[in-house]
Amino acid sequence: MKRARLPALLLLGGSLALAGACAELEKQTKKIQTDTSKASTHASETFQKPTKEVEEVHQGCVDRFDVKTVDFDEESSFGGAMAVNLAHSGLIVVDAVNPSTVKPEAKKKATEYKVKPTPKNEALRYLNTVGFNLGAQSERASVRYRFAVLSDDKVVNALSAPGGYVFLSRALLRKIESEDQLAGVLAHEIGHIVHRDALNGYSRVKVTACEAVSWVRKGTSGMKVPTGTMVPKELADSPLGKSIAKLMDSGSSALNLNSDENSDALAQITEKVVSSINDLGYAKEDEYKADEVAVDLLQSAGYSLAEYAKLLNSLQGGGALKNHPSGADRVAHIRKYIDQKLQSDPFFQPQPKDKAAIPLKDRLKPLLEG
Amino acid sequence: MKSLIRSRLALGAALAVLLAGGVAFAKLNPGQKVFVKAKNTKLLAKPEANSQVREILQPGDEVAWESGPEAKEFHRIKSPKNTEGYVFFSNLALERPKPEIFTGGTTKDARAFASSGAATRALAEGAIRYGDKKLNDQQAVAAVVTMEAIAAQVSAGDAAKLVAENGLIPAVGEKEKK
Repeated sequence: MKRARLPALLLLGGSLALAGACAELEKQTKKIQTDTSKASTHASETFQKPTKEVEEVHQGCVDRFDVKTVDFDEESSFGGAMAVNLAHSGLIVVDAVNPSTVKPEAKKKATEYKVKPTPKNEALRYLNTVGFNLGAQSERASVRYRFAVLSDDKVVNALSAPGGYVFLSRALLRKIESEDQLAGVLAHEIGHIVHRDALNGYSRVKVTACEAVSWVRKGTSGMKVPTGTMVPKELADSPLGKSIAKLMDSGSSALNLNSDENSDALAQITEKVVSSINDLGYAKEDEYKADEVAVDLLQSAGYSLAEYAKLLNSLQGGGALKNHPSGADRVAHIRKYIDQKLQSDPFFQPQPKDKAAIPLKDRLKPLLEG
Repeated sequence: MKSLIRSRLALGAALAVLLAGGVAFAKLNPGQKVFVKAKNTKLLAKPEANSQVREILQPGDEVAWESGPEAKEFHRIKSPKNTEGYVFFSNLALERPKPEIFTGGTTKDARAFASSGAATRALAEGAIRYGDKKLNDQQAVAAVVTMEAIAAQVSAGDAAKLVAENGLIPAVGEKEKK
């Protein structure tokens, strides 16, 4: 398996540091950033107030392909592809099942795989137990959250994919000093899944492809979206554009990502979303919201909030990712959020000031070796 | 020097999180509708963690708040079946969890979603094909499948054991009614 070649970022949550996305797709992705990025220089130079037609095309595509239209099957299929992409770029630290035994979910359930009880897998089981307890108290308590560790020893990072996949880099794991801090990281990533942050990126790509198809069908070259960003015409002719065009004709919103005819579209959209998040990270607001979920879950489970704040303060955030807030900003936001919760939520109780951290007791050690 | 000041400021900010208490609590009214948020929430006969379990509630269940907090951590509620009892503060939320989206844009509440089995499915066919054919990396697919298999082995009972070992709040119960 390929080893990851990850950029030197230091952050927690949201950065998908991947080597897999090809340069051409990255170029296109940068062009089609809409809500989370500023318009390209070219677009901002030529941007004028959007015409009624531009707004109508945009709104029609939003109504059709917004994240609110993405059902759980589509979410989990896309999330699975993202998880495989991440595993491809940064080997999951696990004693894996034999690849020849792998079958699609319709033919074999997750419980039917025989996993060797090796020290690594037992450590992952512990990680998943901590995560299970948190996920079961989240706003999406019925999602099956899955937690794993990427072999990257340089980049302190955690990330998630729709459908319940959560990954921590080994470099981050080395910095974690207590179960409370571990829980904080897992809870933050659960927050991104609860708020469907990566899925929002997925939907935006679908919306942009819809706009490209719409403008090509109108026979015009003025393929602008209301933000002023240019929609690349090539997107309409790409596998994703063709799949979206079929959906537009059929009246459906859901892209069947398990169909062979959409396999190129799945690859294209997965790599677009991954490289977009890799470039920019999630929006600052998304990071703050994920921290709010982390606070809720830590407090609900009985973990120390101060331990989470301590971890955030030990991380150098911001920097490489345009949108990522610093650790100090995040702690300040958490403090405000706790004040607000104490005043508005009767089920949010203050923690004792002397709340002790729960030691890890070497439980994750097998994941840090080899 | 700058880094020392910064680290002291950071530590101060971290500690300030703890000092956020002392603010007046929001109040609830008896009979007010609130919602269960944690999976397998135990409705207990007494405000004690090891008390008899009267009923198991699930996320999204609408319950009537009666009083609390009692013994610091418990609230007295009435279940949809009119069973009265106590739950941990962590089991309750002011707002109903958002429904999950299903085929054709239909929605299912948390209980219906859980019983559909959708959330516990393994790696989808499209994702396997993407790994095998596009990335040419069957090991990556096998690694994700193993990740899923390990997660699937973890039960609510395992979580309850961890919670008991660490003195955490037992908000998530084992499914079986004791």
